Amino acid sequence: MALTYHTRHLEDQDVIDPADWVQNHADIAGEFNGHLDRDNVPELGVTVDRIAPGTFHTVDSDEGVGPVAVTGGAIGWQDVCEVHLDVDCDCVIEADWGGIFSWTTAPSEPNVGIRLLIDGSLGHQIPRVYVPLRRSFNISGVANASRGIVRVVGQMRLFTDVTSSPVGKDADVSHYQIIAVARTR
Amino acid sequence: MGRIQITDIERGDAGTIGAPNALLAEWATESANIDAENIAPGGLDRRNLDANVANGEMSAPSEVFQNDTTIYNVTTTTSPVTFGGIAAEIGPFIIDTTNDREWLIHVSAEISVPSGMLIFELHMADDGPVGTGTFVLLPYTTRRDVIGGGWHSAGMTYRLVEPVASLTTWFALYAYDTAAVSKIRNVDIYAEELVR
Repeated sequence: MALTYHTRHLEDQDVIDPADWVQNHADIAGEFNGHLDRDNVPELGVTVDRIAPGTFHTVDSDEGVGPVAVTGGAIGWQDVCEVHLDVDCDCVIEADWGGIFSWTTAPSEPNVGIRLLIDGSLGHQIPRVYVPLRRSFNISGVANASRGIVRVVGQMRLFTDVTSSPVGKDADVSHYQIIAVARTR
Repeated sequence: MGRIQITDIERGDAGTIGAPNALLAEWATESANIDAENIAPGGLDRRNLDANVANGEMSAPSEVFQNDTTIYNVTTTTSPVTFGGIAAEIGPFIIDTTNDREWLIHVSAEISVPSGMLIFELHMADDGPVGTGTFVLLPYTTRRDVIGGGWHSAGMTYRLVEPVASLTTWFALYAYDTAAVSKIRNVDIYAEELVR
């Protein structure tokens, strides 16, 4: 609203007219029926317990001790773990994924690619990084997403030398947690 | 949504109190049904929101130990990481994950593993800081690193999943190394409270 004045101002000696009563109520009802706004709510008047869950953030995670296998014979990126968020408005998705990467048998030139896919988009990618027998990792990514189910996936790919595609060696990920936070835009 | 239906009164209607009372009853009933639909789209702004409505306020500042020359030498027993006698810890926080709150704890550090293997973990206590509190390992926060790469970055983001109600909490970084040769420096730990 802003301010709503009574349309009809009654005074002593007036003839009783029901339209005065009806009109004054109709003015206020018009605001009440869907047009209340910042002027009707006191400054700092909305406290957290008055706000519906999911208004600002939706958070979920998947975690486990594992280990989750990463197959050395496969070519390209492999899904390792994922989490789904059900968001009801457009939002920014922030994701974090960390754990321990271990080669079953470390190759001579061990390299690993790590990335986060957020709703099909690339949240963040480390295309190739040197990883010895065992190393912890932590990757963060961000992407916009629309309302609906948002799938956040942690992926890896393995290299057994500095130039070739993956061959042979297996690996796994343990003590992992993948976290997705939807922040309302 | 609370919606007021005006009980119309026309000129010439019988002068009873029935119609005015019906309208007053409508106000009494519908004012208890106010919800989001009563608010105009985009009608509220930041001025209407109380402090810490969307993001909680940390009850203590995050501790920062960022100094290349201040190094923690890891020991063979699981111990809190300390710098000049000050533990890499944060708290106390009043943790409540049951009241539409979420807690994320972020840790970043720089580690050196000249040989063997370094294990570092995030621990939590609800009875005091390092020195007096009983710290326990938070699940899924164990990190293991073997030799290689000189100084390199390491870290974790941990979501406190377990429902915890109004628990005063400290978080601290712990580490051990079977060969006692690993080192840790440039640690930052901070906690983030989100309102769902």
